[in-house]
Amino acid sequence: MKVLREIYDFITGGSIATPIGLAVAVLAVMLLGHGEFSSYVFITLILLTLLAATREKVS
Amino acid sequence: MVEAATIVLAVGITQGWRTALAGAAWALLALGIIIAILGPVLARQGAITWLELIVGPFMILFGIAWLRKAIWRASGRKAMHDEQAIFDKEVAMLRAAHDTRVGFATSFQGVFVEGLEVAVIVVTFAATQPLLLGWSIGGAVVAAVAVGLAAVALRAPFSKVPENAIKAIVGLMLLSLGTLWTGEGLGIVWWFGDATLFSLILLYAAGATGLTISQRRSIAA
Repeated sequence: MKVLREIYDFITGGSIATPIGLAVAVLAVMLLGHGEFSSYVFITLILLTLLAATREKVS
Repeated sequence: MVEAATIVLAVGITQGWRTALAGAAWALLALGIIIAILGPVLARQGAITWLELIVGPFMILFGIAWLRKAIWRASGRKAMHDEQAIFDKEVAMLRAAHDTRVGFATSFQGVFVEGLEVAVIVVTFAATQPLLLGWSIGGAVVAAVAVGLAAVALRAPFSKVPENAIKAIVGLMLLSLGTLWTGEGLGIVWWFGDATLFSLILLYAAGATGLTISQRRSIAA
């Protein structure tokens, strides 16, 4: 369990918001298709993920 | 790499350069093996779409992790990386240990853990841009040699290196490339092709600057 936690922290920097936000962004593109609108939504969601990640507790 | 150099320096001063350099050399060998195995294997893959879908998200995760840490430090929410403090802590721990095996393990772990992030970046470049494998490895080697030579020449921790700014730039690059590749993997046709990367870097840089200013203000208030 501790090893899994270490791997998770190594990849995400200990953030919970980042993997969730990324998953939402990927799902949004899959649902919306490959058009220009979809690319704007994808980038906006990644930016919101960055915002959420920086609002988390400092680790 | 800077932190790895600080740790090797602390081991070298307290327990001798032989122990410090042996630990660092074994760690570099282990990292070299990882790159030598994974790099060419991934670079040989013909269809890069699925690779972009695997590598891209990892780059986004790494990029956000690096960038948010840089934002926290720049805004004052997290203390700046103090190489002198790390050096002093390592020296105190190693002097108390009196065991060269501890020195070897510390040097190995420091170089391996710090270098693993670099190895991941090198391998991910190889995965999506096979022609860049040599350049990617070359860049990492040049950076490692430069940091190593500087550490040997100075014989002191790199307290003056603008590490936070460097980490912010690397975070921006990883996040931008990760976005581009994940998008391509998902089928998005970017507005300016690969040149969209520059727009993404500018956009994320503006976003990171805005977040830093806003967090700095909220601390001051």
